[in-house]
Amino acid sequence: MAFIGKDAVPLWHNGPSPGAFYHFPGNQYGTGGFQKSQSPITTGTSVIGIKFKDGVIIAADVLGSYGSLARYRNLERIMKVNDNTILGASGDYADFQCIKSYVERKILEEKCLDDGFSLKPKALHCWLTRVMYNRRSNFDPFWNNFVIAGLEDEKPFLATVDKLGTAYSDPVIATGYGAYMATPVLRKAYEENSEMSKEEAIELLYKVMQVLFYRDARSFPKYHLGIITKEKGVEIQGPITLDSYWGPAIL
Amino acid sequence: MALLTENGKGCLPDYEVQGAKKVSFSPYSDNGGSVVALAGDDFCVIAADTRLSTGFSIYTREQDKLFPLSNTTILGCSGCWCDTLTLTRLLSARMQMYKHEHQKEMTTPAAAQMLSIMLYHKRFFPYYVSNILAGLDENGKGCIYSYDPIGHCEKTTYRAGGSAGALLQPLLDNQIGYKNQEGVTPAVLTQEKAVAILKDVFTSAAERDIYTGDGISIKIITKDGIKDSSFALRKD
Amino acid sequence: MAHSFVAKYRLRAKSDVPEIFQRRNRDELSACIRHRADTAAQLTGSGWPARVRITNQEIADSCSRLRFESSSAILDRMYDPQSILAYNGGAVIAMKGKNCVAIAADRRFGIQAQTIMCDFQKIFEMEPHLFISLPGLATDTQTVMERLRFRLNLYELKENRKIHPKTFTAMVSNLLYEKRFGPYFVEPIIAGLDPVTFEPFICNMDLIGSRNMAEDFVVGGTCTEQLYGMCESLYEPDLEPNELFETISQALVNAFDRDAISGWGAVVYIIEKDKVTKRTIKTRMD
Repeated sequence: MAFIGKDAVPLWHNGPSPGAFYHFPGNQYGTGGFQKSQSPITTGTSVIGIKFKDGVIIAADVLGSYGSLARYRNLERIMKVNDNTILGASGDYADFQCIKSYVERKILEEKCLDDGFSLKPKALHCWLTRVMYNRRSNFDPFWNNFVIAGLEDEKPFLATVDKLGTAYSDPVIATGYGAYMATPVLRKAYEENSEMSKEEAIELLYKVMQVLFYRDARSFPKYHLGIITKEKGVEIQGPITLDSYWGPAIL
Repeated sequence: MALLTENGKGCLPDYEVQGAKKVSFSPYSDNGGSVVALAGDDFCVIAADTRLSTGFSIYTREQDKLFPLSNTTILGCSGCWCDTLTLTRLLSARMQMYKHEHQKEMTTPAAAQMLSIMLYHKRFFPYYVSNILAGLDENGKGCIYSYDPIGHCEKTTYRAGGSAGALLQPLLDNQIGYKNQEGVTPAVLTQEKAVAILKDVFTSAAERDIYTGDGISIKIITKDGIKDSSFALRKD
Repeated sequence: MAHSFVAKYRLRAKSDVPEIFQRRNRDELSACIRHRADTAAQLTGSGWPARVRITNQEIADSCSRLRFESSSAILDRMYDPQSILAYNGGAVIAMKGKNCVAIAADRRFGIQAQTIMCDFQKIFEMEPHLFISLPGLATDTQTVMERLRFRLNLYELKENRKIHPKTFTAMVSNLLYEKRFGPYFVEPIIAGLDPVTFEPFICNMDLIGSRNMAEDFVVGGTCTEQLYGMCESLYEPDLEPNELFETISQALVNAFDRDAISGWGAVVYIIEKDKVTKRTIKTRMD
């Protein structure tokens, strides 16, 4: 034993030591028994969205990454909230599922009232802001970046909330890596033609998702589209498969 | 055995495993933005840039950072945007409660005091917001209150705050406060001059401050109400 | 046997600090500290507080401590340039005008918040038409100025002609970059006229010599934000010497009035082809 250093690890970790209480794992931060979320686990990458002439469109691929492992290859990250709202999420998928269940419960409660009113996109956006801000203030954030798209009074609405509760609305929104790579492309397209048709918007998002697939290592060549128009209401399309050409890359 | 324990961690340095990755979490972010307010004898102008950003990326180019609290009071906010949203929502709720309770709108000095208290209330987990409150006092005279994030409040007649605050304040000292100018009789500040100076100082700030740009929204408060206007800045 | 093996491993694991730093700790740093102590002593005669006079023993102590603690904490503290650059305070501007340039600085010398003197020289005449100011750590200001003067004298003896401001700038930049990993904490500002054509020239650089030749104005010191705000609004091109004086003075004085550690008077040089005007300005002293 003489050559064991003074900082040697004890033979038995976390075991009850004489005259002491059992040391519960995860209690070291003094949170009274539960561990606050330190980091995202299963994550989804960018969500992108743009307004077009009489609607909004958002896109998100179907990959659930586990660190660098492409673990889940068919996750839907866009949810239909009601007939005039959709919600897309990047970041931790478990947190998204949690929020999703909250939203579904809200919608159900509203349906039960049966008063003909339904949750509007701005209201959902505001509510999400409060939920996210509350959790960040307790140092237990939902590790997500949400994109809310919808029609409010027949006008397109596109907005986002991040894990701090930072919220804003813009004709063009991209989260995650998309903020760096997709925003410039989308903004340029929007500045050139802010009244694009649905078909043009679908084609634009296809191109942008392709760019993201080529350069974002946590992306996948299959994605969902969430589209809202006055005529057709909410449509969730997909999974749509992306073409890619890897000729120049030596495989 | 020595190899395993000597360096205290019980492992070979070359074969260290990274372990669970921990991402640090900060509840604050700096979303930039600048606010400038100037008070005249019977009016008050307040302007804020419209860029919302974090680090090197711009969230949106058209974010209004001026929040009307009443017909004679406007709050300009910059700093952590999520705190701004929360603070302004709380404030407008309190304004409404006051209105219903007292059957009148809160005056600007009262709102100023309330804001100070609300900020100090969160002394040990502050709202990371630099606030400038502009409005008219009971006598209809322009007044400006500026704050630090934890509620220190000062009444002034001109103030620049936010990311370009340091760039703009000395200029206002010179041009509005006539500081370091000898043999000049201070002219009364007119609305036209105030707006012209605002546009000039924001144009200058946008040259050197990356968190200020895209555009400004200007609000002029008079006893007849609030007038809106806007002005474009460089977008790079 | 096991022990020596372990020792080897530990050494290797510790070498996250670049070699160059570790070597510097011992020889160069001690030289550096000694040098600063000397200049400090020169600066104030014998009036320098005894506490600041660093003995060889102290240098040896601090260096051996550095060697053992080597990495992060201490080095971080010693090499955080911001705190060192803001130790004494100061504000400097240079501006181009029509066939003239101006350079202006405040006159405060302080140690953090405490003001020591109000007639401190920050602008140095290197040539009749060439001025340099070195805002930053005051002891380095003087050291760098003296070393530049030395190199400039050698240049002129060797070349037998007046130096061009641009060449001088290269000289300053070189001097600073020689100390790339243990810099002098000064951010020079150079203003002058071409010795032949009398073309205006201004330039500033960071503490390791990255040059920026500007067409309008350059600023430096502890209130650069304020200075940029003032200059960006007040400056216009092709000002006559008198207007240039007014502009640069207003820019400087109003900027440093919003900085706690610069001000306490200002000095302005207007450099023209056939004359250099030095004016001192009275300002608020708080």
